[in-house]
Amino acid sequence: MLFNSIDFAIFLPVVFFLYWFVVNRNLKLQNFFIVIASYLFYGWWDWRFLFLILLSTVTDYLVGLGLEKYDTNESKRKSLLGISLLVNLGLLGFFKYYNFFLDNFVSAFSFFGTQIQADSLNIVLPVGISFYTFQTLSYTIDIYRRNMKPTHDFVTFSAFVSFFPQLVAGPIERASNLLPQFFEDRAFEYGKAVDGLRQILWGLFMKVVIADNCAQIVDQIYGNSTEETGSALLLATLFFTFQIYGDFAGYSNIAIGTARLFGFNLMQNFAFPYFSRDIAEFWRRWHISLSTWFRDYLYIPLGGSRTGTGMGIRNVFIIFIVSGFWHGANWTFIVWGALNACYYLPLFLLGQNRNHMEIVAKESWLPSLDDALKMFATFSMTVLAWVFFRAEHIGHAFSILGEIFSSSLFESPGFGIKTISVLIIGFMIIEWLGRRGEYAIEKLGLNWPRFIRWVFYIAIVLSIFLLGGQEQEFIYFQF
Amino acid sequence: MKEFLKKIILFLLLTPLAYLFFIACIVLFFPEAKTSMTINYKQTTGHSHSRFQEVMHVKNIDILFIGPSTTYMGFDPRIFEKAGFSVFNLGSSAQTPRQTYILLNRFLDHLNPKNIVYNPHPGTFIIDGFESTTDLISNLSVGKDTFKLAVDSKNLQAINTFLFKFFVDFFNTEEDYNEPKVIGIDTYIDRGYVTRSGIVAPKDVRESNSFKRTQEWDPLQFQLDYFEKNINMIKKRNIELLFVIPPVNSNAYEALHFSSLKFQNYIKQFGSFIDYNKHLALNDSLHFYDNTVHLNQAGVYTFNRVIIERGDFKFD
Repeated sequence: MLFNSIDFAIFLPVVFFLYWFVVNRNLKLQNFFIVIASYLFYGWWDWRFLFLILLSTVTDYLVGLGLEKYDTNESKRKSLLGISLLVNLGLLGFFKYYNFFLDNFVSAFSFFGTQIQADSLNIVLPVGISFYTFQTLSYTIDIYRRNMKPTHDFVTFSAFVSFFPQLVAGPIERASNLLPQFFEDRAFEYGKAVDGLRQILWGLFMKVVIADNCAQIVDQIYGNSTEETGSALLLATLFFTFQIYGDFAGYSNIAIGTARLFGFNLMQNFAFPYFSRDIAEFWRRWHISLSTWFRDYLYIPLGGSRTGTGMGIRNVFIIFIVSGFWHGANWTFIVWGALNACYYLPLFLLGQNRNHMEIVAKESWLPSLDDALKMFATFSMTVLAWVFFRAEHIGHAFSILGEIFSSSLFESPGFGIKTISVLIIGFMIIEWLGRRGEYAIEKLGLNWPRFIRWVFYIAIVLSIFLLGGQEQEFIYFQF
Repeated sequence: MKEFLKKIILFLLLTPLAYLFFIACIVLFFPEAKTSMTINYKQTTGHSHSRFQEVMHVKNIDILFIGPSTTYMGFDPRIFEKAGFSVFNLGSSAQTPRQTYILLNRFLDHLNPKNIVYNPHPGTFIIDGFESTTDLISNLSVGKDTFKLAVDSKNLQAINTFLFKFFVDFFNTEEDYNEPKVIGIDTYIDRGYVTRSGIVAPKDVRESNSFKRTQEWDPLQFQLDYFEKNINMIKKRNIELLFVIPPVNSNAYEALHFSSLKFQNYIKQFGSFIDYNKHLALNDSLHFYDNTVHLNQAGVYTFNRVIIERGDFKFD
């Protein structure tokens, strides 16, 4: 079920009503209801893949109990963790990467003159598999590390794994943050619910008005890239930069806002990444739940930055490349990850990667000239890297870059950009004004008179209905 | 919770009112916004406005033609009338079975045809029909059927277009509107036909070939359901029905599934079916507008004459 669909517009109020008025007297019943609602939400797309969530849930629930039972037996604990890794990464590997590895294996052999006959399988990628497998893995790894105790309540654990607001595209929650919330009595909080609705509203605006409108131009230009000018391709890449942000940060806002309506706090997933002053700051602000997941469960176990320069460089490349590969079974994502590692490396080597921990211009209206130039440079580097993320294959990416850096950059792009540009500029102004909050309109207008504030919210709703682009799936569903 | 629900209800009441008010303001004060990214009002080609106006003045005909643009650009009423048939061409831009259903419901009993020539373009079964949806919403009077069409499309632009049309009718802002006979390179000919002059530019060609290409003809279930409803509606009235595939250029014949056995076998089960691509060898460069599926006037003349002379139609 898409957040930006009529189905969800009916589903959400019905589930909200039943949750707070029918099953509200019993916590276990409330959690059971969340499981049912979440399975319905997911099964709406394809019920056949519910068994994968169930498999992941049962495996990690049992592994958790096993880790507790064999608390003093290290070899059994390692085996149990191995089972969890095998099942979760095995599912991910098969559904997401099987054909990629097979094709590359065949290509590698044919390069050396040996022809291998191997047919790719027609595998459907289950929506959200990269998200919920990582979320359940965090549970078993944390228990293995003795950072948390396992739960004995299967229903509650199922609710944690399948919690519908963040099931299909995150934020990838840590068990230590989300799971305890399922054991706390939930009382409806007016402020939290209103805040949730505000965040949903802003998320929908980002998705429907910004991302979906950009998508139409991007799809047209990238789909016909051989006939387009450098200027058209550059503009399309620029629009993709806003499309992917509006799409994914919009989704995250809707997810976090929806969770708030049900009394849950999910982690912030985006913190105004396009206002970053260097690439290290960008990665602290972009897809935070994934970046921190890789930091805690991959980078630090590898030794992080405390293992000497050579190993540190290796670790930086590993985390960026794996992060790129997580996005999809295509060399484009690997190159995108590697390119970001190259961007990051100078900062890492000079020890400048923690320079900007606070949001830009925290105490002032406008950034300093120095900050503005740094933001522009970081943004430009990011735009360039998105070419690899959006391209169909490596050759496609290089042909686009070749055209962008050719004389056709100075030719007319051949399409109008007035309306979409106005929308993006307006959007970025609101983002700038609201950058000190968790999302742009969290605090914006809170001290305005109620009438003006309501006009502002109604204007956002109207812009969604009147300026929204053609309904598109969320990009991150394919990951 | 009480306070929350009170405010939500108030917000949910105010927002639609503001929404309707805003669209009414667009109709009254910014009508040029009708072709913006928000609204898709009368943006399609094909002279649907003229056709739907004229159809109200036509009754008891021999042949009714229905289908997408290859219909209104493929069957020239002048040629049939010369042969003694009274006809009307109710083709419209990218008309899919869902929109054919609406047009038949509106006009079939009024036109009371003896025969229907149904042009079931395979591409119209695999698209949701957004283009035709807004075409019909813009050019037919507001009704329950166009409201349902807008809502079923689950497309904001279609819903906005419907509301725009609603206020256009409500405020009667187009009372004096007459669609020009000539729009761009298209000229409207009485009885629903459109003829094109000049050469189609390459970009237009790309856009005109926008039917989705897939490996195999893979129709949408709801379009099949509407198609079968259309057949039932026609057969219930004992109207003679003939399915016709007009000639298309050789590339399109393969690429756009006209030649698909799955498609042809599906259609054949509902009645007589003639694929004129098998009976008539037209020349891609002489009989079509550039690289499109549309016949030019020379192609239409040859095709229509063959239809009449072959006697494929048993019209009394």
